[in-house]
Amino acid sequence: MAAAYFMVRKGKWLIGVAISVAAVTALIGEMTASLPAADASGGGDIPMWRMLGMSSALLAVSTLNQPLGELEDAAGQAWHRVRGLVLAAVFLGSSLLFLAGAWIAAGSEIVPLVARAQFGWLGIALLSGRILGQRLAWAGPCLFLAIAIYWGYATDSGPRWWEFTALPPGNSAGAFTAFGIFAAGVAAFIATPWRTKRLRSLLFFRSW
Amino acid sequence: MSALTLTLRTSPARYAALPLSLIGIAVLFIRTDYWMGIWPEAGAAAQTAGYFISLFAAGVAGWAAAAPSKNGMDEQFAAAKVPGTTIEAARLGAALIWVAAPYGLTVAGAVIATVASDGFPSGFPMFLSYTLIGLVPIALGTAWGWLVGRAFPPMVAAVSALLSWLIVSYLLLVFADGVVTVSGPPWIAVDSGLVALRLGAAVLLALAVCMLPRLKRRIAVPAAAIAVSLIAVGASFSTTVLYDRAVPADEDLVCYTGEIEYCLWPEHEKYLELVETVDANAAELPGVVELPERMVDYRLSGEELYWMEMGPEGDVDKEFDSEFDISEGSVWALAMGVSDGIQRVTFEGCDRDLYDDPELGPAIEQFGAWLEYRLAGGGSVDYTTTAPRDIQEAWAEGREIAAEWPEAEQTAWVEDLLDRAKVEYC
Repeated sequence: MAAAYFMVRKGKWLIGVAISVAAVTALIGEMTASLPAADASGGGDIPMWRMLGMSSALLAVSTLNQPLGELEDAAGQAWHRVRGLVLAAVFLGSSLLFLAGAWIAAGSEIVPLVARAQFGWLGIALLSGRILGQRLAWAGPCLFLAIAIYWGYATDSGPRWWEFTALPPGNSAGAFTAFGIFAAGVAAFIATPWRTKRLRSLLFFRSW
Repeated sequence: MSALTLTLRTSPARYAALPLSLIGIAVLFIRTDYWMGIWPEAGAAAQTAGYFISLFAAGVAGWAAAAPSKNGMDEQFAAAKVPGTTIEAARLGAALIWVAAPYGLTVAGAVIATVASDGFPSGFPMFLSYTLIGLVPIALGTAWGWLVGRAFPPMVAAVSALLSWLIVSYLLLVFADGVVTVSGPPWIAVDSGLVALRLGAAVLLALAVCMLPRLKRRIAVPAAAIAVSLIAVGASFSTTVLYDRAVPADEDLVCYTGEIEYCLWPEHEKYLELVETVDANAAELPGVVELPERMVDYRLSGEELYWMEMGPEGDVDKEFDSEFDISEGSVWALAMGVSDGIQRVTFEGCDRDLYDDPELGPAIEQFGAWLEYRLAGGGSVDYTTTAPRDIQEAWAEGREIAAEWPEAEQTAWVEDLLDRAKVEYC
């Protein structure tokens, strides 16, 4: 079933895009460009690999789209298991490819940073998918990228506490933010209507 | 026309208009506000929103382009009486209008903020040029997103459009000039004709993409059209749109005469108040401090002479007025510029070894910092510096003298310093 699930979601294209993004990152990842920023410095130098960090999250979340609509809505346990597995597999696969690309481009110091950021991006994508609908799941990471580029860097103190895509690898606020958002995203993903009802009935001791 | 109004009402991009408007207004106003009152700076502030809107525009365009395929409407579109190109052009046009409207709102916000704060200073055409610059990424992003949305399967269309536009826009930022400007100083001019050319190339790409047939047969002609328009886009971005502006004639400059005559770019009219404040502080300096006759705004002393980059030790043989650069409306920037001008006049004709003297060198750094503090009227400095430790210490001492010593002692210190320097080296 996993194969059919993957095929309906244009699996080959997903793999192709993941490989292309990783290749582009490997080739030009270390380029920097000056992008506008709100702080007094006027503009910040952003390396290419930071712009593409959300690619694996976006690809993973795009598998949550439902080309077979109502048929899939009526599916049972097995289908939901495959859904979660494919999401995790696509996320891990494209993340590893992207990490390889980023490593080639910018060296091994940024690997923990990028790895941590991947989880944050997936969390944002899952949350925005839940709030805006799976077809618009890319809008959340895009918004976060815009906010991070424009407001994420303060001239005197460096990246702000919530900017997990740019804070140094050991930074605790960055790790907390990234994994916290990841946890929220996973919670949004597993909160199916069935589970939400069960939780509500457990909390309020009423039988629905 | 009715096709356009119909698609405007039904385009999926219409839901993007409100969020993008909020983003545009946020990008414009949640930042330093020195741009209010200076038209070119206001234009640059407004056009930064154009880049961020273009990111969303690419994703929205990818989604809207793939929507008919996703919903299985391809055959219906192909069998329609209206030519496919017209349908696509109407849909793309509607999407473009819906993502460009938030940008128009941002531009209007910039106009209102500038007029509300400072009336209508000169330089409005420069504002319009920067606005045009901001429109280019939106148009090109939408066209590119539509292209990727048509070429890729609907499942991955929006994501691929967004990611590919991130890459393309980044490459344009690195290799092309004037794609997204970070500030809009009055000494940089914009070639609106070339920017309009870029916009035209983006529109050409959009029209070529519209020629792609829904049922993917006979794509030779559209593919060729797309290739040609991509070349046109590349060519339009290989031009230079930002260039140094010619220095205006003296009558066109905005001047204030106090202790010193200050002349500024006509667009910098709002800084006259700042200049008056600093001039009043200059009037209170000890009499032994020589003031220059005339100081001008950045790059006004001549086309080739960028005095600020040479510093006070620069070529003293040429006759030109010292410059100041009021970066971001900071009184400290102006004070620093006037301090440099005063130092230049004070040590005119002196031997360069003065600055390397182990005792007098740091003393002159202190003098410069003291001048700056007095001219700015006190308070804490609003800039950070990466100068070497010993120079920063000298500056701190100079500021302390200005802040804490009584006036008579300050005057005595300055007189003594200038005497020693002049006797030995001038």
